Amino acid sequence: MKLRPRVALTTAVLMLPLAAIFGWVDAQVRERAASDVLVADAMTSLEGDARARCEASPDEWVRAMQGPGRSPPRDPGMFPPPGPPGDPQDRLGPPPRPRPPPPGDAPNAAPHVHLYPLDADLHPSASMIPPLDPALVAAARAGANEVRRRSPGPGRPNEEALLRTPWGTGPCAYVFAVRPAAPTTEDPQLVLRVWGAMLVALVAALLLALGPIIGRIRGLAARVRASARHQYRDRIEMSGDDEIEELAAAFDGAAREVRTHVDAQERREQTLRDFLANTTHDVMTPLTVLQGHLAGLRDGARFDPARVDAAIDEASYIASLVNNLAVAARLEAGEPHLVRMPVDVGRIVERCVSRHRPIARQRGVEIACAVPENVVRVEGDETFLEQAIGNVVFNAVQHNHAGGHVAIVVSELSGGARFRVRVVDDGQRLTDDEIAQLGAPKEDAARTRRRDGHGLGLGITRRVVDLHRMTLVFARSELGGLQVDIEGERSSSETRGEGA
Amino acid sequence: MGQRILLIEDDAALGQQIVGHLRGAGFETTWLTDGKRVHDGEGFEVDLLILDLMLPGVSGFDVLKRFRDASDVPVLILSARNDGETRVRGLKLGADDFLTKPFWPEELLERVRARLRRPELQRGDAIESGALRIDLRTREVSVSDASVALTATEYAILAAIARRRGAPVARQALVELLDSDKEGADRTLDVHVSRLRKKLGEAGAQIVTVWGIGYRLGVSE
Repeated sequence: MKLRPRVALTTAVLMLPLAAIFGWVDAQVRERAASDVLVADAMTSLEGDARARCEASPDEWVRAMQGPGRSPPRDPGMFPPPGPPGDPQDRLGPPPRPRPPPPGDAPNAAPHVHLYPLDADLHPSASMIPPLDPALVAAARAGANEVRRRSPGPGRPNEEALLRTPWGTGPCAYVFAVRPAAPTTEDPQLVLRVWGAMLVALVAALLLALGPIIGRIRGLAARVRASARHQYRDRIEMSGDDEIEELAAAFDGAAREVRTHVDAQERREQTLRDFLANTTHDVMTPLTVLQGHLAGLRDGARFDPARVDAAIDEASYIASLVNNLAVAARLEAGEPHLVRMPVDVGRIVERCVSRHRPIARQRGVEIACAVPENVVRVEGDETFLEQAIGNVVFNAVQHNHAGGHVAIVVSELSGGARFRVRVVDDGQRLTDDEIAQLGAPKEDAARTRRRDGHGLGLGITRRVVDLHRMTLVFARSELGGLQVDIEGERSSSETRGEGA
Repeated sequence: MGQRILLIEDDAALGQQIVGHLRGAGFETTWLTDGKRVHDGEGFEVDLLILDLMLPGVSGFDVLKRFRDASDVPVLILSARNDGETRVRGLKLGADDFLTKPFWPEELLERVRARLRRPELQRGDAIESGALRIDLRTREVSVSDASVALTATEYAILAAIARRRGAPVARQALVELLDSDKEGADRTLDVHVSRLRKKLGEAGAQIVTVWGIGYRLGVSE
């Protein structure tokens, strides 16, 4: 259901019971007011010499109370025939002083109150008295000084009250006060029409007020749809300073979030595509070389150890390349997710040496490492850190010569607050420019990698070191080749063997 | 009888190669192609478990958890997956070391020996290396039962490299044992080691200079 009919229906459904409740409350208030006026009028009539006149001649007093031209309550069956003719004012003294009409009621709609005396046992003292409701009598006998009721009448009901007089004895100990029903001026249909008109006016006003709101909501829906068509690249904005504008801002925030996820997903997919393409290209080439060596071994007339070494070299390179490509894929896919945990740097270095020792031995390169007695722990991603240090070790072995050396030393610095992993070799000597280039970050590691270079591997090392807030420094080694220092903050200290 | 190793590896070619290398190195090796038996409560009477994570049926992690519930012997994980999550999960379940595929046979054997080796530090014990004997408690050094008189500095250097026998100790760590200032100590370390070698006689040859690092006592690990 659209917003307009929904609001109209809701308003109508809510207003009908509300109107009924208001009408009922209004009627109750009116009835209470009429009853209060009846009692007040009756009590006023009992002031002055009313007692003496009533006790002297109850019938006369009754007639005097009805006054000239006053009509009895409009239920003839309830009253005896009228009393003797004559002007009761001549016989009973002056009539009661005029009373003001009840507030809010027209004088002709509020006839005078009729009073009928009863004795202390609630027996009528006058000959002319309408029948009393037994409930009123019972309540008065129970001790109530004032009992009220409404009796049915034509148009408007009669107001009745049984009141104990201020003196409370004699033939006029009680009075039965009745305000005869007056012709009502209220037309029920008119009341319904007024309420109906108010309801219609209210609904119409609501629908009119809803117009601009619905227009703004439709505008917002159109903007959201347009933004969705352009993969949420368009801003969702609405003018104004209301809830619709807040809703638009919320949609805009959600759209930006969706856009961020979509971008990240696209980057991941692109990274995966690049990874597959690079892996296919870079692995296939050394694999082809490896196949060539194996074919040569199969077809060769004699066993050639150099060819076996070359094949092993290719296999080692392929393994290193695939590992680096996998790490690069994780590093290049947006913000890399580091699995941080306390990592033993000494264990990492020992594993790196263990991994590269077979290929170093084959190349005639001696490789060794030293770690301090105290365990050097850092908070970091063990896989990334191992790959980063391993790449430096791999390069030191690869860019070396038979009879060369590679040494890795883990040291505690600054009294144990920091650590350093130093990889030194006595292999290929580099110029100052070449060393400076090693320290410079590459824009695209994948494109700068080359078979004989440090592109991909050192690019990964540089990125991992940055992610762990460590430093990477290249220098010429005093021992002949390259010296690479990785330094960082240590997270805890303990003796090796106790917690390692 | 060699130390017993249980290998759980589903790949026939790789499993056969690993078994060959381990038996060749003197280890008594049992090879299973899945983890069902371990998961069912068998195979715990070994000195080391080599476990491949990617197994048919029961996963390597489940096998590791079941094994660790029943045994404290070292577990070496073999995995082609080299990501942090896998490694952390393995370590949390009680793995002692990870070996990422592909690996060289020598690397596997080195890792296995490292896991089966006794703790490196031998504080409070006497360390023996060939004819050389160092009593860390009484600070007495002897070669072929003949006592050798060393200066405090010489003893400190010898004890430092003896405590990590077979593993190189960095010069920086040894220099810190000397009393003289750093510049002088760095130069005099070699002098102290030279004197130490002379005093130890034939056993002095066990103090090996390690290129780029420092010194080592005994054969390389």
